Amino acid sequence: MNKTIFMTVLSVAVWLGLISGAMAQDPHAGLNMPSTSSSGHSAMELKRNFEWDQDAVDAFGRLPVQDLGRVKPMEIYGGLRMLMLNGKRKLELPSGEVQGPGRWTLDVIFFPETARGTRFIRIENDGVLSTVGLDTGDHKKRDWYTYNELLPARALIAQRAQAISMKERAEQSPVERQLLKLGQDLDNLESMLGMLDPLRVNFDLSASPVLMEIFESDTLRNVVDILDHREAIAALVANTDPALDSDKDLLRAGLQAIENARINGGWGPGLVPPVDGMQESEAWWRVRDLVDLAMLDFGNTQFDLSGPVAVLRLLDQAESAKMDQAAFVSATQALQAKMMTMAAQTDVPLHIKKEVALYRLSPFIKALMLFLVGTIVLLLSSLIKDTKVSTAVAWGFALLALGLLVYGIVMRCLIRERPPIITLYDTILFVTGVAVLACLITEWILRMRVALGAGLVLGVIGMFLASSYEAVEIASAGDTMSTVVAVLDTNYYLAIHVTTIAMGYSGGLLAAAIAHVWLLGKFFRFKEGDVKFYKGISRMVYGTLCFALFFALFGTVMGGIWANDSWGRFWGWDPKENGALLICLWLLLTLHLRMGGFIRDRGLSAMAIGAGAVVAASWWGVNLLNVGLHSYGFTSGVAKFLYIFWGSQLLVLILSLGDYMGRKGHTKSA
Amino acid sequence: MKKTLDVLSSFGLACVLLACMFLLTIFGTLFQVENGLYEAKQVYFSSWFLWRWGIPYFPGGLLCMSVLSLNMFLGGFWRMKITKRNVGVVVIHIGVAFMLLAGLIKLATAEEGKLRLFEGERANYFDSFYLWEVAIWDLDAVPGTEELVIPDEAFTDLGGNKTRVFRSDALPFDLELTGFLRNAVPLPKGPNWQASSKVIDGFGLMDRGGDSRDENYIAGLVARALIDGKPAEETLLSGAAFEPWTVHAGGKRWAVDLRNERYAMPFMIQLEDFQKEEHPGNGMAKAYRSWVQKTEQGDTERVLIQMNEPLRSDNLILFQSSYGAFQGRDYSVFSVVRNVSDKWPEYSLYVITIGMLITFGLRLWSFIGRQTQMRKQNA
Repeated sequence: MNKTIFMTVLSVAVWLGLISGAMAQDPHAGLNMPSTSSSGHSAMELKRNFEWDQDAVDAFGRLPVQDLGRVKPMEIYGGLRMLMLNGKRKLELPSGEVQGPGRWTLDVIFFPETARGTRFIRIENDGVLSTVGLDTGDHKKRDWYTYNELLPARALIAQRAQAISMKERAEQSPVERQLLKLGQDLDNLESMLGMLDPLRVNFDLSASPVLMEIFESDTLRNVVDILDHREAIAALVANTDPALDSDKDLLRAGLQAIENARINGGWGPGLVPPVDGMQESEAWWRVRDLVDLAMLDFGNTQFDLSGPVAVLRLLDQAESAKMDQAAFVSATQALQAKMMTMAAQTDVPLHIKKEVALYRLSPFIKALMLFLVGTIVLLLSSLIKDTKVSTAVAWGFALLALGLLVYGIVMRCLIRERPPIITLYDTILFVTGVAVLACLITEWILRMRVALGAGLVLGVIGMFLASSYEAVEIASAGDTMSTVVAVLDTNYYLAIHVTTIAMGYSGGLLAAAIAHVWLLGKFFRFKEGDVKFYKGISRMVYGTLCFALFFALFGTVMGGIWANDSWGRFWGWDPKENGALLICLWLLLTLHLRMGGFIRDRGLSAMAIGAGAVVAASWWGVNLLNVGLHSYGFTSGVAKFLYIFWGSQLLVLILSLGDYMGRKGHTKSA
Repeated sequence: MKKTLDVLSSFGLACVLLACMFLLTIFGTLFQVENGLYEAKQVYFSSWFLWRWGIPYFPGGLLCMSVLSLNMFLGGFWRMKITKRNVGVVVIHIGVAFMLLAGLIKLATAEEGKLRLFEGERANYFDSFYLWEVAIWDLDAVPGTEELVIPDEAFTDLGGNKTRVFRSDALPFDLELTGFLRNAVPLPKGPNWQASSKVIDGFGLMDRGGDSRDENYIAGLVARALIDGKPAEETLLSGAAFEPWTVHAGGKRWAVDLRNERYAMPFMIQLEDFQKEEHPGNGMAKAYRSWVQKTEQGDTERVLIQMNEPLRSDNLILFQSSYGAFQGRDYSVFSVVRNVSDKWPEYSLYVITIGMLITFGLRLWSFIGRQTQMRKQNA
């Protein structure tokens, strides 16, 4: 661009008053949260009348985007929100089309009109909607709604959610919590629905033949049109002929419409890493920021904005081509290549393909299925006839499931570039994996099929818990691979302390699981008189308790050493520390009772059941207290399950005590 | 004597003590939800007994841990005959005893507190988390003049109407303290609340009771200056006051301040720069660090203190624990600990780990051997 045109363009931009805000160093300055009302969608929006091509799903799903502090694939970003809203990662449309996260995300972003009319917003209790005066019509008590159905009460939902968020969680009623969640879910959905709104301005130019000639269209689509015709616009502005005043006014109105669309929409995830020197924050730029940058680029800047502007252009191409699958695929592939190149220039972990592959495989759900089938095979063969073949088949299912579980854990480590445990969700996966592995090793040594059975059952329980808790963690943190707080930012201690503590948990739970076989076996007179069988189980329980003690004690002391480096004291009687101490004390008590001859096999099994209950208290129970320095581990919503678990364990102990008293009475009378 | 040693080294005693520790840990943990950590430590973990109606009804943490240490020592060296089979158990006992000893030494000798510095500010002392003191000094004297200090244990029992008078030859007045409240705020007395203290100049202390965040407690009490044994001036002293109370006596102005107990450091720390990073999009702290200048005996060095990387010097350890901003200025908060047994738990971990590896390794090895033998015989 020669100097004259450059100066003219600059003066045009300044005259139009469009770059005044954009000239600020930080394009995020003054940004507000998305408005809670629906961002104004234009009448030009289209409804989708075809099924998405897999290439389009792949290309768009693998865009690297920044969301909640980390870079992840677009498909995962959408999938997490789909799970929050829909309660599952699958959606069946009335047409029979089944959508996964990739297709759903494409619909919400490119065809918001279609998405607004699709039922995917799960309402657990329609009483929530009654509180905001919404008629639920023929919906069931727990049902899925469309965005359009909720729209009449949207403003009131936002208002109530805002008021509820000011209250302490303990003071919120269950209905209020659901309303708060609904408000947050709708905010998230609207940020996706309106993500491309700044590219859908479609301002009518038909009143001005001059502008129609400049833009070669009767519509000003968005800021990209301005960039594409910058020299003609500059010439128009420079022309002082009064006959052009109305054209200039219309152009100014069009530019104002672009600015309004930018102000009201363009939220969603960050798409482009910031250009060096333009902002202190590491926050990536969203569509609304890219429009801002395009304005800045239209005027003048010392910064090289070619990258962000290119991404905006490619997004615009994709939006323009969305009804033509081949053109859309081509545009999104180019967009993906450009965004990957830009993301690769940063130092953030970038494992887009791995993460998409992990989520598409769903290894934990598949592991759950395999553990379940293995359990059924083993159970049936125990009831009908034990054969080597059935045992081998159960072994096969257990190994396959364990393989998938380990694959999933390893992939999560590679994606985050962190040790296996960061969040509570990670602990479930890891604890289950270690418990199953320990069972299989024990089975390999003892060959009694008890450890194999325990491993399969623990696998089912663990994977079921993981799939249930995933939604809880996503609802509270937005992700299961969330960022870590400063104190946890040490791979050394995370790798050693957290994993060893979790191995201690595994040992305690495994011992409890095997002890159930001893106590309930005796109660139901299973293999009555088979001393060898019960001795074998006792040996397993004892060995597993030793395993648990080794790791629990090591992990607890290691945690103290970490605390000494982080907080200045080895031991602070913090609830989480006390939870770990309780496990150690219980296990030490059990082993000393056995060594001192105060308990025998039945007592050992009863104490092992207690160990399982103590592990549950340490793992989940202390998090419910919401006290202490381990604030990153606080949880809510699991109390009910914890009480059920403790109650069930108490019941087993009572049954066993009854059995013991009965046998004792029988022996005396004999 | 032998009988006593047998009991003290017995498995039965070990089991009773472990069970007591287990119960203390549960109830102490639940207690701190409502009453805070400091109270929980005082009542459950650092006490010889738990008391109710003036009667000890349960052994406290200190008693349990002390007797447990003795039990382990005697069990390991008196009762148990060291053989190849139990050498690992003895090693574990040595490690655990060493760790408990480290805890005991810390309990008896350590000083813990916090140091809050704004950028550019410096200090050669730190404040206790929980303990309070009343400091008195000559307001017009040159900086660095010695202060008179009434320590925590001398006045924190003065709840309700309990009163005590403090005298010093260095002061032209006596100080009478009463109505101590561990967590209270001074507020203008209105019709809608009952003051927990005497109302002075329209202000009273509102008792906030206990909660789990006892490191944030603000103490308060009533102070009277007595000249020739007669009340001259009185005020509400609060740990939240920005300025000390001024007493005019003997032709001088005296400052009286209620503040967290203060400990001296052998070096000066100046906060040069505080830096904080957040994860984009969720406001979570990603990292925070302080560049400080440490000056000791004329030598100054620049040191970085950040999470998991404290400054260790002269048995003092400074940890990056928190941060904040006040009136547009950043400040950094350090936890400070003086503890001679700082690294002992780490050494004990190595010993315990070796002991456990020997014990469980040997048992596993012999168990696998037996199983293999049995399988061969069955085959």
